[in-house]
Amino acid sequence: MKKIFLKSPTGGIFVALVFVCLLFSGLTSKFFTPMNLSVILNQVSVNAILAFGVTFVIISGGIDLSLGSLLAVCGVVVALLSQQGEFPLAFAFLLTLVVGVLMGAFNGFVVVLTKVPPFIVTLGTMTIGRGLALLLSNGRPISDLNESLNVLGNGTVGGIPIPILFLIGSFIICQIILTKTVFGRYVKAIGGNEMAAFVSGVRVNRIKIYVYMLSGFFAALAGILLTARINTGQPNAGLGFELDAIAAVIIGGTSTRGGKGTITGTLLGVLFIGVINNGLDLINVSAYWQQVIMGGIIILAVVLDLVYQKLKK
Amino acid sequence: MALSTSLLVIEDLSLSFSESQVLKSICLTLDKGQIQAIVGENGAGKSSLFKCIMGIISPSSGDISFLGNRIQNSSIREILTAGISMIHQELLLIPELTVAENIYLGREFSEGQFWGISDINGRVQQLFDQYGLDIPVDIPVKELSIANQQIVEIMRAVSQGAQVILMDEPTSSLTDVEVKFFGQLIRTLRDAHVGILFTSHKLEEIFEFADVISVLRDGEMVGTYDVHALNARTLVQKMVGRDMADFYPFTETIPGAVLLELENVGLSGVFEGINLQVRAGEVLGLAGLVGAGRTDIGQSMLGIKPHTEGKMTYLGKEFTPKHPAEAIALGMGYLGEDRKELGMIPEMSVGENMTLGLMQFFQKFQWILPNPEQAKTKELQTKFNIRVKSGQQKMEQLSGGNQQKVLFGRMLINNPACMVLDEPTRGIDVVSKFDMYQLIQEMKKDGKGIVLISSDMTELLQMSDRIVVISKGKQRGELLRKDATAERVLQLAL
Amino acid sequence: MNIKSVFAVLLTVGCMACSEKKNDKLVIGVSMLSMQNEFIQQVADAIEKSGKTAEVEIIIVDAERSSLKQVEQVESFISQQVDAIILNPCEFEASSPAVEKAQQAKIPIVNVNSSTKSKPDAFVGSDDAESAKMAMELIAKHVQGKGNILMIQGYMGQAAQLDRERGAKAVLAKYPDLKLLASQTGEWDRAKSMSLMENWIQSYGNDVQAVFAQNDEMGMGAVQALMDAKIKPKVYVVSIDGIQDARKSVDQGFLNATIIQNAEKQGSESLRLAIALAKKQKISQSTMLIPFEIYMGK
Repeated sequence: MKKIFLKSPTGGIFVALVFVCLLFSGLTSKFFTPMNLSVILNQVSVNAILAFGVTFVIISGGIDLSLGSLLAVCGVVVALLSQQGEFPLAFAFLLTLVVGVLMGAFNGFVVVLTKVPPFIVTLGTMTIGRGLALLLSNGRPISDLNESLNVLGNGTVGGIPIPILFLIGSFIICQIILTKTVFGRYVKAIGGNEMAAFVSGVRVNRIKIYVYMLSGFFAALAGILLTARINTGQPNAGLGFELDAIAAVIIGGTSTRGGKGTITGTLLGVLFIGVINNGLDLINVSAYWQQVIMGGIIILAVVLDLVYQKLKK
Repeated sequence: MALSTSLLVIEDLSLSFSESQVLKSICLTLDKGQIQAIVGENGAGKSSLFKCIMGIISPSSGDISFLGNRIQNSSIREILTAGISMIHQELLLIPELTVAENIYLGREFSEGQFWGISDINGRVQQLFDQYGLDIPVDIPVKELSIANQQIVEIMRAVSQGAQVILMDEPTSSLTDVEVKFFGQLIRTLRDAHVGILFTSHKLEEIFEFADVISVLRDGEMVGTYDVHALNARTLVQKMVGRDMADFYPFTETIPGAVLLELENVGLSGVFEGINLQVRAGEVLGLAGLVGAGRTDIGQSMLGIKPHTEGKMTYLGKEFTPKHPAEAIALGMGYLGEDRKELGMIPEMSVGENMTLGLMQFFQKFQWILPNPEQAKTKELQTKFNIRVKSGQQKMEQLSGGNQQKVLFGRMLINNPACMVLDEPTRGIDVVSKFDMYQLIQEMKKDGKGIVLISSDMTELLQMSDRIVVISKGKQRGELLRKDATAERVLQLAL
Repeated sequence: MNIKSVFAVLLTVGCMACSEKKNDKLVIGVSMLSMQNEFIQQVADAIEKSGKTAEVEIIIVDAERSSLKQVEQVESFISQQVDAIILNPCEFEASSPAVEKAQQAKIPIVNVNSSTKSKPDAFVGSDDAESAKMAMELIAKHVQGKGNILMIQGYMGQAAQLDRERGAKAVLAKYPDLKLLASQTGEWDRAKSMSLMENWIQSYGNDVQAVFAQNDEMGMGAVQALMDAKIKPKVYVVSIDGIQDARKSVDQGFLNATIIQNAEKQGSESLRLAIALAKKQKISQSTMLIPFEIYMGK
């Protein structure tokens, strides 16, 4: 056991995840069933996709607080486009993804050109995005959507819910981008030492803009999925989602100072949060206690990670 | 040696971690009022020895005694109170507290007073007067220069009644003037019968400051020598265990075509009116005091700080790089002044560091081609004799010398015609320095044009074919190798 | 946050400028809990609409669920010397200083939709506990007084959540065979309560006869989860507020019922009282409760 987890770069969070799974399996027989595990994966898909995107931003040494708002804007856009029924769904998706990428690019350009800390810039876009979502939707949920959109959110292919397929697809794509491409390599380099990367000839600004565009793309994808899942475009969807996504990334071992992180770690972080949410509902802990326990378990995970880092040395 | 004069006696000290033996039967004696240099290559065991003395790690066997009492099983705190202090390379001061508060940190209540010691400013002022120090005692430490912060740390040790002070690379971040002052301070301490153990990579300082020199090699004590019994060559020989031919290799070459030409080049507010030529097969030295603009001129050549005035020509074409990527693509190479800041990505592997910014040679579309990349980095590791466990090892785990070689390797992947080397040997061990000089010579023989920026006067004089002297952002003159002496360079530089 | 406050300041400064120009009209300042909530939006729309007919000037600001911000907004209304204030409080205790400050400044203040600890000059709203009682009674009737129930709560600790919980529990006490299997928060949010319902389906599955959601958004989330699990027809779902989306869902036969809080009337009545108070007219009653209606489809 010790050897196995010492080998994996995400050992600490892996152990923590196994621990909470064992805990809930002991507390209720309803937890460790194929059906429930599928429910968990289904529920975490939106957060996972957001978190994969923002992992790149955090590794590059930045932060993106506008995720939740971008998700809301894109959710409203896709709802509007598929409501009228005039456009094919594929067109609606494409346009929504373009909107997400453009808003990400806006974040990136402002960060690069003004040198204002990304924390502030994306805090601004967070507010702008929320306003845009309310403007586009007149502040009301958009319903009566194309029936096939609902299938995307709640249907299955070969018995597997479609959101889970999106989750797996996004995981593979992000994993490849981060580990197998020059772009991924340079993202880590910029986070590790921006000045050194620049002096060595890395196009730092260009890569930073791409990073925010990537984050915007995945926020749009998550927005489409969420809209499909709840079958409405909600202008107030995704409030606080950026915090869940960023928490998952950090719990998954990505350094807040940048330069270090893995997509696998982020996935484990997302699952960790998802499992706790699901498990606490299953065992019906009072809503007040849920928050206390949630916080306690997160601290426990961090402590486990510290123990792991020590053992590794 | 009479027992009464010995402060610290180490006998038969050994230290091993799981498999490797770090220190082997070390014997060492430090007398009252003695300055002793501990020299050796990186990994020779200097830091481990210091850590054993301070009780930070406990030795596997052997004795350490201080004033006749065995101390090797004491805690750090007990050792500090006994009278041994250590000045670390990274200073351990609290930036927001004043000088006096830092000096009394942790001892405010040591005299049993509930409200703490009153008038610490006065006490510290008295101490500073005694040592002729001109540092205000009531300003926050963060407002002091690094050199003065170091002095504060030394004075903290003194005020704690330290009789032995260990200093790990105390001069590594000091300017020449500061080093001189540092020398005076430790001599004053010597006169007060304090024993000092220090490490350094700079041979000049070792010979200037030390009374005796102890040489460590691969965890063994080669011997302790009186400073007058050694010279630079014999010392290096003892450190590396073999004879080093000429420490500064130099071959006469006939310079070829002009590769890079600067005509009246300037960067507003930083430097102006720079006219120089870099030819194939020569080393052009850039001399000047720190802050004179040497580094900025080098960085303008790479587009790191794009020039705003004048004209640059590279390989016969007008050259106005706006980003380092442009200059590198055209065949310029750069080795930055501070490898931690401008060179390496500490968390990344040695291999990834080597190919940073040069992935265009190892990619298909955006896809990394791992085989050619690994082949290239392996080749460079062997060529430069870089000691790593594997290409996967993290950059931060390497010694300074090996890190510098990795960055040198990175520069060569692109096969540049002209390269700017800014302080290429700063903070690396003697053997790596020697290797670096050999490399520069090889590049020169290969017909590369090399711009060498260095604060090490001997290095600059010995390695350069020509020297251009910069002062306050302006070009003060150009000296040929045969005419260049330290005095003439300094005259122009001041 | 900073940016938001800057906007808020700009907005109020802008309004100050325009209110100074035409001082012949009455000016009423309105601070709303959150314009991102559809029900609150409807109340605000009603205030604005009635304002047009009554020819008074309305300044509506959004407190974004922050009672601190709400107090600041009321302070700026006072310094603009508006004629009356309508407050849609964020919190029972924390929004109370807004009421006290207005009264110290002798500006009449009307609370709409929810209450504060300090008593305003008038209150227009509905008794939240009453709506929950109506919803729970519907459920009790449907299951004939016997069955297992799940309750999806709002943000824990908010006045609306506390009152609706109190109302629901009062009905439960009347029917000993009605069993509350679990109650958790869905934070007033559709996606969150959908996940909650999915988890509940895992642990309670076929044992559930009815779900009470404390607002429509959450009720719709629960319906979606139940439909995906293909057990909706067996589970009776009732929620509160009567937003358009929910009414449509009732019409389509998905959501079983929604308790309509009359947003329009809350808005128009609060403005009517505010105008009366501003003109120093006497009002017949200082607390005006607008009754709920049950909506079970066309």
